[in-house]
Amino acid sequence: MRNMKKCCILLSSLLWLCMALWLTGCGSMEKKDEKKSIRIGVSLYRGDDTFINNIRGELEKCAKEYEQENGVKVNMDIQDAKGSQNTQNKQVERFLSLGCDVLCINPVDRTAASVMINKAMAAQIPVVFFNRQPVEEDMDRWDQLYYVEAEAKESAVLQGSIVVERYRENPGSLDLNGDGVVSYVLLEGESSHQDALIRTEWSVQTLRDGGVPIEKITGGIANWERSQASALMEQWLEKYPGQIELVLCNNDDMALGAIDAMDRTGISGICTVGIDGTTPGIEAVENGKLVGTVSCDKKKYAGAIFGIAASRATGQEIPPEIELEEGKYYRCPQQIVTKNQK
Amino acid sequence: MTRKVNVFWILYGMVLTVLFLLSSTDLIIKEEAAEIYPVSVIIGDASDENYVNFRKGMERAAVELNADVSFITLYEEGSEKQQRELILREQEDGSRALVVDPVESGWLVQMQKDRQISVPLILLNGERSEAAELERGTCITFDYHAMGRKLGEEILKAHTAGERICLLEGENPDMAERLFTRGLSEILTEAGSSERALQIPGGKDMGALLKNALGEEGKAVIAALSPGSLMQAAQLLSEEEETEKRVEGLYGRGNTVSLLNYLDKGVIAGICVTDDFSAGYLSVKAAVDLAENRSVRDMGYLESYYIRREDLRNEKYEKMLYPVE
Repeated sequence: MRNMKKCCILLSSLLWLCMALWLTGCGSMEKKDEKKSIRIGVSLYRGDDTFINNIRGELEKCAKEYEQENGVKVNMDIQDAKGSQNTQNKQVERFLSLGCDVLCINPVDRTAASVMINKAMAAQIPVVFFNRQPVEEDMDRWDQLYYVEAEAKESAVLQGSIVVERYRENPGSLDLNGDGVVSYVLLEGESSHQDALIRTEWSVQTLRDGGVPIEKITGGIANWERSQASALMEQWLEKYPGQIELVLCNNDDMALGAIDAMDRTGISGICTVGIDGTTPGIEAVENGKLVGTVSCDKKKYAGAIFGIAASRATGQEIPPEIELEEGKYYRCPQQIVTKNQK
Repeated sequence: MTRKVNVFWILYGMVLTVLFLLSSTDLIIKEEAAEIYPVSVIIGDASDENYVNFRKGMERAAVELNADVSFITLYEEGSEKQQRELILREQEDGSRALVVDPVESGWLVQMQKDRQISVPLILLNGERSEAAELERGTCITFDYHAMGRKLGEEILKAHTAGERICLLEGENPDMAERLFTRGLSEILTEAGSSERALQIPGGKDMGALLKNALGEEGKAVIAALSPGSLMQAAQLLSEEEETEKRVEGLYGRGNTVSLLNYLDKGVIAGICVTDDFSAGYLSVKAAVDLAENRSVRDMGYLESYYIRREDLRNEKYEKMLYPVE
């Protein structure tokens, strides 16, 4: 009787083992089945931001190329949060309810990403953040969170070096009134964005390190926007006539806003530099209105976002050309764009 | 006493269990799952540049009507072959209705007749006569022919000195452009001004051809037949002062923010605009209704207008041209 009981236990254990092996086998077979379509939800902090709009265009191109190369249908739903975190949270909810395989989020408020991360984690959907980095505590919560950026410090150092080089070549092109000091104004992005603070700090630091004698006249927050920058610059041109010799801008849109104000007031010759290398920014460099900008390779930037997203959605390895730091951060290479250096 | 207490606690536990099942599971009360309607919108362009307001309307309808809308552009602009392939792919992938802006007329209705398309079909920017042939479907369109006539009338009203009229074609003329051109040409012929008109083909060389046509002397009016050629001409005039001096007025059609900015700056004198937000909303609404086998009423032609710079601040046009999502 006791032997009989032992046999039963052994048999049932074997059955359970077989069942477990069979189920595992099914799972791996499913994984090997290549997906015929993937669904990616993209939420942008503001669709009218020129840089973000450029990235959006490149993302769409990446999706089309991927479809053609791999024969996998890419359903990419791109939504504009219009600067509202609440709207973005709703968009994330909708993406999850529609069964997105992966989310690409350009957060409105980098300090409020935890709500979206909670939702994505609950649904086991990986997230690729870009352009605005969630706080480190949030990024460390899950190994399926990624971040793609153009490093702010590098952008700022390159921006500063455009001015340093110009000063070394011809100090008179910057020190317009010949008083031995380059007087500058600063147009900054929104104060809650980590890039705005870093770009400002390192741009000025590079000028100092490069031996450019600088003096700050004033500065203001134009929230990355052309119109706000234009209004601020117009005020400064009135308030400090003939004093402004350099305009340092945290991005190209604000640099173009400053140029708009100069055009309106009929002032020329003030050195203006931007960051981002947006299409209108590069056009302004080509026609000599903007002295220089720092451009990240937008194709690579969008390619990294899409590459990570597509590999997560299909369950494949992230392509080796997307070199991740700490397994989650991708820093896009950048370069200086001036009229002579492209 | 002890027994009564035990019974009480057992009953209490049972009530709690029932309440838990009621509130947290659908074992007792089945919650009806909201039905989602997959709808595919396939346009004839390779980019969505001219569909910004359309998409806003489409997305509004998607949220309100529980539709899951895929907006699909072609890999190569104006390719009928690709459009056919995408239609079949989307249908196979479970789309319950298709909204298509066809690159050419005729073939789409034929596909439905040949039973290659089995889901409802909403034709965008097509001819209404074609939509009448659809077995399950409708048409959301503007009267491009009337728009062309209206633009012609406005040009003739504003330019009576007999200036030459350069008609700028688009790179890949679509149905809307053909209807628009027909309307414009009719007006010029009726007014005996057709000999003033000179048609310039679209494409990369259009700028050079236009400059050549403008010549060294005399002035001309430009009428762009597509949003793309209007944009090209506006860019050229804003960049080249010499060319701009030889142009009496630039006219055309289109709704993009860049075009409206050129109108605001005075580079474009007059423009025909359409209510694209409504077109986007109504096309998704019609798709959901048809997917649900509900009847869809004939919507006729949607509204279009001719506007000048001063009209941009008019509340009616402001709402239509810059819709809030």
